[in-house]
Amino acid sequence: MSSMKSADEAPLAVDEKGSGEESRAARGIGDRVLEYTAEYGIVIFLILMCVGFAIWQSGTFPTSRNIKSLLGNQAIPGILALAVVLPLAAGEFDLSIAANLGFCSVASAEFASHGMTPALVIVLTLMIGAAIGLINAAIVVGIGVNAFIATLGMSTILAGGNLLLTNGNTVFEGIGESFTSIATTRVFGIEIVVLYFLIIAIVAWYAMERTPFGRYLRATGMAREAARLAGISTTRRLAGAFIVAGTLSGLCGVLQTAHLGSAAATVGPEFLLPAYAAAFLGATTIRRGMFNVWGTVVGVLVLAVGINGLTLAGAPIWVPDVFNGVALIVAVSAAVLVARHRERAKPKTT
Amino acid sequence: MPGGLTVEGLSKTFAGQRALDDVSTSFPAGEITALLGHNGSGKSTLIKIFAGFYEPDEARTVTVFDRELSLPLSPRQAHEAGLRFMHQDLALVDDLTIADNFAFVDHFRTRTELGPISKRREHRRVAEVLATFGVGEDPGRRVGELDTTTKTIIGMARAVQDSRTSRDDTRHHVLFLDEPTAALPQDEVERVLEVMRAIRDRGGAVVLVSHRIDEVMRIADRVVVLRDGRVVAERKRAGLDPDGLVELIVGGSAADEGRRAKAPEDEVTLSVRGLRGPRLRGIDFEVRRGEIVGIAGLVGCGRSELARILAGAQRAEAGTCTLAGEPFEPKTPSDALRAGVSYVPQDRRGAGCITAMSLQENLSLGLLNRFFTGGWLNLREERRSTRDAIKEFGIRPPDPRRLVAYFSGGNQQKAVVSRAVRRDPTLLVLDEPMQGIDIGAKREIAQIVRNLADEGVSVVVGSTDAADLVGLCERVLVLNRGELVAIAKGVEVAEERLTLLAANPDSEEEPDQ
Repeated sequence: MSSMKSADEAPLAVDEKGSGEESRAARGIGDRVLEYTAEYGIVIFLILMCVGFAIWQSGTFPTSRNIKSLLGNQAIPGILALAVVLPLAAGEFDLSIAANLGFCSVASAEFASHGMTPALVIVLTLMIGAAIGLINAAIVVGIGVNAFIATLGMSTILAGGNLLLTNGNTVFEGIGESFTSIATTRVFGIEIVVLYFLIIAIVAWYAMERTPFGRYLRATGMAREAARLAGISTTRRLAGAFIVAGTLSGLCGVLQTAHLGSAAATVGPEFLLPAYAAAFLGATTIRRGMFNVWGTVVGVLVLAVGINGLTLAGAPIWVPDVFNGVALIVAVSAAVLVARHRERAKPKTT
Repeated sequence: MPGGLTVEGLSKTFAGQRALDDVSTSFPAGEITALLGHNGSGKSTLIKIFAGFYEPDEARTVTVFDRELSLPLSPRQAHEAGLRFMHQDLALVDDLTIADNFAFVDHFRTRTELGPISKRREHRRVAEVLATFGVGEDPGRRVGELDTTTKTIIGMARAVQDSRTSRDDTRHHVLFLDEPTAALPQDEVERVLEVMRAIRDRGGAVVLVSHRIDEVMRIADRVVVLRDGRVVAERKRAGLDPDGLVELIVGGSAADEGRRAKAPEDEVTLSVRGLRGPRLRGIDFEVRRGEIVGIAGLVGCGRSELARILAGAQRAEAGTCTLAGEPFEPKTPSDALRAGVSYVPQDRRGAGCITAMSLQENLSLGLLNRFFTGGWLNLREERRSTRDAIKEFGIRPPDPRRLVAYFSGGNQQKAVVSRAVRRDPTLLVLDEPMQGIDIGAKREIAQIVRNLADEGVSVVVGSTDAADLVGLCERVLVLNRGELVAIAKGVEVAEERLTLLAANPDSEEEPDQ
């Protein structure tokens, strides 16, 4: 019956003076170290991993060629991870982003192979991605279907659409260099998709942290009724999050086709878990407890460097999947444990 | 002292601040002790140490029914020693039956860990326990179907049962109750108080945390008052009067009840005609410029619904409203806000503020466009404006970055009210603004409301506790089952009269419009 244990909700928890940010300095060194370790744990882990692989696989990992290819290969999964940050911040899952990527990849391949100009392909595909986001928004926000279910259904529909468009074949004929160059052009030796990733990250950070839209989106995710009563149109923000996520997924689709020069009928689903793993890893750092842009970028890099390093060390084929899953669970568990420690506000750790 | 709980020299420091400072006190068996103090006075820290949630600064012992236990306790040790805690939210699972809810704490009384569970035997036993507390419900009923009063009584009855791990079934308990009556309609409070008396009379020690002074006067045998982490009074309740009690809690002499600097004007700001909703059955009233109008009534009288309709959170089924001469039919809260109506909802933690956000983020919720200049949120300007509001509304501690979850209830409420006021409303609607906050915060919020009215803002305040409306409102509308049954004015705005009107509208003459 000691229900007062649930400290986060306890109205009795009125004098938790140990929990405010301003009191951090007053606490013991040990607590502060723990606090920082928790706040930047993933960043420290990323650095340690880079150093570790650089020593262990000194012939292959720390080479400019490996790093360039690593970044080039992670840019598209990275943009997709940023796409999920918005719905997640608004408190909803969009599981259709990977299938959206797949569908848009196939659609753009079809457009390109029919001789459309790259600009037209991009515009049309982005419109398809946005339309998918709009339909998601209409079902979730308009009708009120659970987002998890609605976007899961959407995923399956899109996977079927891929088969319809391709008959199960890979589309590659007629995709010229003028189209593939939108992803593979090199800037200072690095593929241009990395630059796109960086620009989108900056814009996403701006939107999330420096505009009323981002703040209200978070408010919508944290307490929808409170946000609505404060005069915020939560439905508009939610719909916006789905549409932006859809558009970015569509962009990832075009870039994926351009990057590979082809589109397989089955492309898409393999992008889903890494995108969510990166976003959840990201929520454990920079702005802890919240889905945030730079944290997600760090999350993408953690997964990329870990898998790249292990692959170079000759790890077998099952390692990447296990790494993705383990990284997610360990990171989130660590955050939970630290939060619990802080909640208990132990006296003096001298 | 025989039985009960005794502790000496307890201190607890958080981040260099003393939450408890050398506290020695006792909660004797066979008595109801009211544990009183402001939010932040140390009551909850004290209770949480007993619950095994916090460790005291230095090891101490606590004596519980003549057993000496060393602190810190684990939650399990606390439970086994007979310390029981009932939280405001009761921790009952609505979807399960009464009997199953008992089993959480009480465990199934089976011969072995693997059963078998005899549903019939469980139900019979639970029914017997309930009967001793005057509850005749079938233990097979879903808890969600019960009213709050019955649920509260079930929570208390459950707390003082013992699991089969204890050998002695007649052992006594120290029962800590956190505002058990805060959410109850006033006419049903007595049923819950009766259960407290029953537990006391069986030899238990009851510790009551309450902000309702009248209730403490009625039921407590002793009072222990904390202020700034120290015990400032520990004495028999008999011989204390309400004013004396308030004085002990607030410290020094109780400040004067606030006064309006100006009288309301004649101009009508809000006019409501034939307003209907699921509960409301045709309400007519007017609020003048600078007038504070109260809405009294029991739970379910339509008070919250009226507030929600005015705030645009719910649509009216019929009727018309006029605000400052313009037709007023808000479809959404943002419509209402644009028209000049600010709203402070009843559910402070769920709908009033976003506890996972900082104070600053809460204060500028819905107002960010003020700080969005040149395509960027001007965070420095937002911080400056937040600091101004913190100072103006006396929010403590004055830290814009602190999460709202870590503020006391009274300060959370000041934050919600200040956000509503910052929108420069023509009409401010507050639903139960005083619920579950301490006397000091109540007075501060009342003063904020008075100052606002002096500036010409019209105010509608709803409350089930008539005491909150007295001394604040010029007029009080009394609702009963969705109908306006009386309007009290001037000297008629007195607690006894409002309570009587709300409970027995038929005993009164026709309402005068």
